[in-house]
Amino acid sequence: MPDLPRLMRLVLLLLIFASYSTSPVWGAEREVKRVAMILFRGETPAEKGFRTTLSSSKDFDIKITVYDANQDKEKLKSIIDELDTSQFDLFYTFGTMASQMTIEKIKDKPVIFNVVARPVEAKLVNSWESSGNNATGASNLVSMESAFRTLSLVMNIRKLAFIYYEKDPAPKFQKAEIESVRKKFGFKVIDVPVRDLEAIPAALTKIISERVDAVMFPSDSFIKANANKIMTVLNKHRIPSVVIIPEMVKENGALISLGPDYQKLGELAGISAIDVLKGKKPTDIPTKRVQNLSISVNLKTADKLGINLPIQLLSLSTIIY
Amino acid sequence: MPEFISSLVTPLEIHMMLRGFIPTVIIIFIGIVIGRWDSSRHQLTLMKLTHYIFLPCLAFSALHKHAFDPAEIFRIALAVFITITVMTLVSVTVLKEKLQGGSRNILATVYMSSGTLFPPLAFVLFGNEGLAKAIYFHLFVILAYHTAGLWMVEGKADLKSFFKTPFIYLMLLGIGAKLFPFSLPEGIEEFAWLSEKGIDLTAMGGLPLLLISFGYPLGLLQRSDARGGLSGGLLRVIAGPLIALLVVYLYRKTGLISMERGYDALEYLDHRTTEAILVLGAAMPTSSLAMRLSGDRVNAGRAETGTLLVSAAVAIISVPTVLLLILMFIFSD
Repeated sequence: MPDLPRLMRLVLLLLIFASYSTSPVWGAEREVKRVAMILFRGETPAEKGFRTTLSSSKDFDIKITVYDANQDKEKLKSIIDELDTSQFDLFYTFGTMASQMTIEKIKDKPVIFNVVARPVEAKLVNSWESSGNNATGASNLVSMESAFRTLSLVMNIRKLAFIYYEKDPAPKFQKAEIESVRKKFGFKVIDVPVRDLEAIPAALTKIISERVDAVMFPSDSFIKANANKIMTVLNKHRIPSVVIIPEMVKENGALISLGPDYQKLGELAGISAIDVLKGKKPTDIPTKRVQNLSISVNLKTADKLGINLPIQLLSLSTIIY
Repeated sequence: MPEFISSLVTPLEIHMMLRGFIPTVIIIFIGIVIGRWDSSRHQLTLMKLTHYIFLPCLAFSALHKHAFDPAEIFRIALAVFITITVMTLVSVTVLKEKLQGGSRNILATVYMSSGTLFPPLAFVLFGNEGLAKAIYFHLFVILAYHTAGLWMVEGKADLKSFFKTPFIYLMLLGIGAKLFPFSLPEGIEEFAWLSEKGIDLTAMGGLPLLLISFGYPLGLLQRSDARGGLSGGLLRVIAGPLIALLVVYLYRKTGLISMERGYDALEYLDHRTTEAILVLGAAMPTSSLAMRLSGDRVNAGRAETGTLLVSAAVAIISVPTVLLLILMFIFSD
């Protein structure tokens, strides 16, 4: 009969072996899942957040293939048309346009959309609670009331220009949001639709001649792509720019962003993706939203525009300088 | 920077605080230089301009954009009355003055520059929200001055002159415009906006003029004037903010001002801004407008001119210190 210490050692070894072999990370191979990422304007912090969440999964080894339309609507269409859906377990889409086109085409695989402000109105889902189809995701909808209250700490707005790409469906929903708080905050909205690149100079002339107090940029990929040209002119004429996409404060010199944190949005979409890969139906996962605004302000732009940033705002904001 | 400070406040916050404070000091110095070299003695014109035009425009401009909140007004009023009452008791004890029938130095010690130095500083540091709260603060300070303050030195209150203050009526107009917004036809609305812009521009233009008004009488004082005002001046800029900090602490302890973060970060921020305004307002030096010119000298006693000079000189150090405390203990997480 073996002595007790030896027996204990054996039991301990067996326990270690057992725990090692049942561990999903180290013991067994993580199940490989393939995700297609369909993007209109390249990767943003939202995709970074999505990737980070997926890579932290203990159950799955997720391989991501990126399809970037490079801001070309036709290319986006051909990417979606040519996709071999059987190769992927899940599809991730960014923005209203890419999400609408993907969900229209792919019915047999789950689709996780991200940065879609109004998924119900865009007909991606039946309701915020349940999609009623193969899609779920995260929305970048923020409370416009909070956004305008924050803005009132920085400036007084009586005339607000709203510049947007008229072929993109998303900005129209954002404009409706702004219109809903217009009376409460006592400002007038000047509509500035842009049809194509050639229409930008005329749009800028309209903004300048209307003597607006600020220009609002929705989360619109076309406008984002041309933001440098637009903002250079606006800053020269000392017209503040208010944006929804946080990167535009750093990359394009916008004064202030009042949107959600895109990385957090990506993380929320990632959580939904993992739930779906684990077997949950997309229709059973409500569309997620971030609770608070993420405020970024550009100190250099504020100085150029002669705008005084109150110090209490610093405790809530990311400062770019 | 010591670790204790750097753990509570970022260099950027200090930088932003100094960006607001240093230009304010520079403009006051311009006022001092003007006061010293202005042989035509334009102080009365300057006072009339600020009293009848710039301060009223500032009150309208700040309040018609600021949400009307009776609870906020109550908090500011109560804090001002507590701070002034405690400050009066401390000053009477330290300066060995009588509660009634004493010298005007007691007023110079208890009452701060809430109408000249404070509004511009509140605006450059805390924006329009800070300015609106500073306007309410000033209202209750002048109410206390015209009632309890004048009763102490003259034996009777003077509410008549309080109600003659034009800024009160523009303040009410600003609150009314915020409470009862009305729609106008397109062309008239454009005109109304332009008028509003005109008032806003006048108000903003008045900010440096208010600072110059504060600096002007300081330019008439001599270093020797400081002798009689050491105790009063130090009490004004050191005891004032300490009492206000105590009031803020009591507000938090009693739940009179919420510390709940909740989902609405802006509401939390608004409460902290109120606290900051209460402390900063109490840290202001003596109001220099009380020192009216008389010939080449200020028309005030030696003690109160000393209190003004000492409080203004010490404020160059004490006000940024108070601002640092505000950043560290009010706005810090």
